[in-house]
Amino acid sequence: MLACQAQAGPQPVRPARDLLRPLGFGAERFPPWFYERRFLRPRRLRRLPLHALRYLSSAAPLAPLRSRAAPKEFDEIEVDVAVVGAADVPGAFRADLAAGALALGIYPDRTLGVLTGDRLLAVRFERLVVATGSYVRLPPVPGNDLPGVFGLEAAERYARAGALARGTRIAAWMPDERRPRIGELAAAHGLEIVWMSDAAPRRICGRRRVEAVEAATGRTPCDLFVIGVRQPAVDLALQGGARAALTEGALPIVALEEVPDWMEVRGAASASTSGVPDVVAADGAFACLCEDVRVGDIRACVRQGFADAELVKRRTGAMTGPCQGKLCSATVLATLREMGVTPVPTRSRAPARPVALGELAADA
Amino acid sequence: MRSVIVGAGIAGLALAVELRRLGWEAAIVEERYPGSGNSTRNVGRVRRMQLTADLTEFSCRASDKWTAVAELTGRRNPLLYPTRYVWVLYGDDERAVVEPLQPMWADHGARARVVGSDDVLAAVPVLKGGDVPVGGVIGEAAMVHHDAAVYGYYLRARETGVRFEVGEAAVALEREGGRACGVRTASGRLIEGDVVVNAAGGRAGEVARSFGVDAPNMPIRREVLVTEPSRPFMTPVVTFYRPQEGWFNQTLRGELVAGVVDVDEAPGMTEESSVRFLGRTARIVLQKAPRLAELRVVRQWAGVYDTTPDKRPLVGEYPQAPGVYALNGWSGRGILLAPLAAELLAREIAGRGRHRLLEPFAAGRFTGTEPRAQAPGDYYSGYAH
Repeated sequence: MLACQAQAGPQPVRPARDLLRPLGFGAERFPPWFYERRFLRPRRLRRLPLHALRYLSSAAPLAPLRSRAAPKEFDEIEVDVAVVGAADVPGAFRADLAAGALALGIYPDRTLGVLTGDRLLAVRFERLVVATGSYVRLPPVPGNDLPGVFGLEAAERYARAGALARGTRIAAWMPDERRPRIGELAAAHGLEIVWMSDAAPRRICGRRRVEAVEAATGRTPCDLFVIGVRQPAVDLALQGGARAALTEGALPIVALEEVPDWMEVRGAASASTSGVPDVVAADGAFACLCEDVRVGDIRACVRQGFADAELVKRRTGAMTGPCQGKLCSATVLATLREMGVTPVPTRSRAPARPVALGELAADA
Repeated sequence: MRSVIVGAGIAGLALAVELRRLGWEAAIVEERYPGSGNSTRNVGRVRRMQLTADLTEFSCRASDKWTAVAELTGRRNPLLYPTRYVWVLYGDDERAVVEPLQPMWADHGARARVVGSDDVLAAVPVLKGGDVPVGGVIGEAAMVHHDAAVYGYYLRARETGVRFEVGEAAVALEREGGRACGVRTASGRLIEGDVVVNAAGGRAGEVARSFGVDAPNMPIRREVLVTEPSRPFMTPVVTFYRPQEGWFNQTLRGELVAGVVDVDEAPGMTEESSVRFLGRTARIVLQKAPRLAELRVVRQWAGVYDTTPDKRPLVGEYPQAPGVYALNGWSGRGILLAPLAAELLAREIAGRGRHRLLEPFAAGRFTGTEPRAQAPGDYYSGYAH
């Protein structure tokens, strides 16, 4: 049930019974923020989890937050060719996150917003090469929210960091061409592949973490569910005026159909099929993990008369969370199509990924 | 009797629901989707105090009307919740403008008062450590979840038999004997009605001109950013006008929404964002509230204020076009004013006379020669007359 469907009036509240609760008893007698600052999130430790995550995922280190005395410089520059991602174009201006330059978005008049360690840039370009790669395509099956559901790339990083124990049992949902990659990973780190298919399982089972997968062939106990199926990262291209549509035939993904003549899309971002068979989405499967929306919620919403992707987005909150639809738009649109609604992707907006206000502040 | 309403935003939907209550039929022509445009591009602030007496009186009544919206839409919860509006003052000139307004606010029940710096910081602790305000205005206000409210009206309109023509753009007015008799859509269809209402929000000026009415509406872009949700850290909503107009507040879902306007913003209809906006808003908001530095921005977007020369809406019949009514020109107050304005306009359309509160908002009050009084970026000068 959505919050806006609740009847006005008092809601039943059950007191939380977590271990931190005793710490909170004195909280009301402290000055504002004291409890949060001293106990929950001491300033020195506040960014530690972020640093750790960055380190584990081999991302560039976290930029230091700007104090209010030093906002970034804002610059407008003009270039011939701009590149987003790792594509190799000699002489081009490059916005590559691995090199510390984040492409925020494409703005009108062929302008690319770029954030570097010390500058906020509006880059006017003649030609743009987009190599934004891909995200995981979440399978629309129950249990797809369980801890232990992993992307292939994430599993590789964890394994490299020594975070996957030898003998970990892996269920892998892979298109054929990516099977060698998971095979290599398993061989290198002593992991055991107990289930592998290009067809999504019926459900991923477990109470607090992945414990088994259930497919037409039966139930297979496992520790990790690894996803090799990919959704091309088309958000940035869409901001530049490219057109995308939900693919047909195989398991649907949102793929680019047409790009402006000044734009070139390379690599995984230009994929046009998921390469795995379609499945019927289950009501209990999560469509949007950020905002807690299941496939059944979307069907109910369409039955109520909200028969448009933009309406479903605002009614349920799907696609409005921190990932801005990267994980869920394919599932939401596929559900709409199954209900007889033309699946038009919702509007894509900058920034391409969450950026702290402290990093954005600039003399603009 | 039949009505055709152009625009399925909150104004058009509310008017359709009110007209149905008076026994009129209603058809809504919407180019995009119900609630598109500014009804979904705002943050749903319902504030009582305004800079002039007529707007304050209307806003107070409009705020009261909001408490009836849930009942009016079939007990659909618009997520209306009471809060305080903190208008933070950073200049002594601002204090000089707002202090004399207190008796007027008291007369109309705006329940707002001018307070000192300490009271502002106590009400909004997140401002501590930033620029020190010289004072502020703290007033009673409410927030509404705009989408929940719009969809409450939408569902109520559907179940009371309002006809929806979604995906159709109104391109021309059809007349019969000098009086409006319907609108022609882009696909060539005629949607018939005895009255036609222009509730097209940011596109109201365009629509009026396509109907042959010279309307003073001028859209001007307003940009917004939103961060990921976090724990509740502030309940009041904050607005400031120095060094330039800006505002921020935390939503029920825990996101921070914020915006700082560009003083050189050129008028025009656009819903495109800009990269400058991100840098400017982050810098100015952090000057005021440095503790927000770690919140991460997930999205930026833009809408328009559909402004009129005196920043008051247009509600009523266009004198140049009998049978055509205006319900637009909100100048940034659409969510606040629309439910009440729709109710009063519906009564007028149904022949129950023009309500006293609508007097300052006549659709024909402009001659086309009015200067737009506002100096670039100065909010207060727009209300000087």
